[in-house]
Amino acid sequence: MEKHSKEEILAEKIVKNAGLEKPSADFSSKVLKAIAARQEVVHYKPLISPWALIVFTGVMLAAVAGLFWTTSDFSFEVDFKLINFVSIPKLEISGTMMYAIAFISLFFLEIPFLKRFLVKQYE
Amino acid sequence: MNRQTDQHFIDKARQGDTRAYGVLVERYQDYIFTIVYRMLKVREEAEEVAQDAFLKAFEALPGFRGEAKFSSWLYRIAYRKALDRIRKKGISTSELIEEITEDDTTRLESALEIMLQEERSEIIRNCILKLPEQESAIITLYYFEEQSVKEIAGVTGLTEENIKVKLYRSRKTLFSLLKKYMQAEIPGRNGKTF
Repeated sequence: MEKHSKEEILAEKIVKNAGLEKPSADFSSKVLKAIAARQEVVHYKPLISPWALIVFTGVMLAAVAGLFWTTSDFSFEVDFKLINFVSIPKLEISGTMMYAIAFISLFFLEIPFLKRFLVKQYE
Repeated sequence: MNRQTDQHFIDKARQGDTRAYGVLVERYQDYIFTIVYRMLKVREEAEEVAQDAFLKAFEALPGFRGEAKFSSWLYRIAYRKALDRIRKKGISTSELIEEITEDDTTRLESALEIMLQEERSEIIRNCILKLPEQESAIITLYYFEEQSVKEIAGVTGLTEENIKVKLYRSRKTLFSLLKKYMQAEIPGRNGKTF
């Protein structure tokens, strides 16, 4: 589209006459400050390293297994009857304790959702 | 703009040299701000969006392959940022186009010529601000930045045909706004009236 019609020539003259708008004097320094601030943001690093998590999970599983071992009459030495293996230790838990466990479980369930929400906010 | 020197600063900025990027910001800030301001119509908001566009451009710099001019690439980022803001706010301006004859064009030209430079620029700036968002950006890119229709299509994501239609409309609207202004503000100046 060449600018040859009278209208186009006038339009070009008019728009050029308007010139450029100027932002505030400290515009570029504000941009550079924003860049510096963005670069300083510490990237998300999990507080607990994956190895520590594996060890922790292992310890927890061992503890549960140990508890199971000590409270049930299961023994490798006696025999391998299935009925012995599935026998569940009788635990007597109060109602308050049950609620406490339920709430703590809900709290732990919430963590992945909260984490995802926070990560999205900083994206 | 000198593309060679742009490239020099782009390469340095890619390596994390923020001073080099500062040179590019200073070089293009008026152009980017003008486009964003003419789209958003609010100075403070335009400044915020233009800053955001430069920040985004810095982060996206490793992806700039130099297929388009650096300025066009910057315009594209700024244009989209401004459009996003407009969509969020739901601003929309539209002006009724009055019929403009060839006679009107001639009168408009002579009426503008008798004005003082500063007064003339001020009036034109105000009239450009009254254009619909996309059209004020397109008319600036085409007539001031002298970008081709193809380049503007790359910046805006619109088709070349659509750009041509918008250019035609924006020209007519701008003349119509200027004509209205002249009729209201300076009737009979220099013995001529609209």
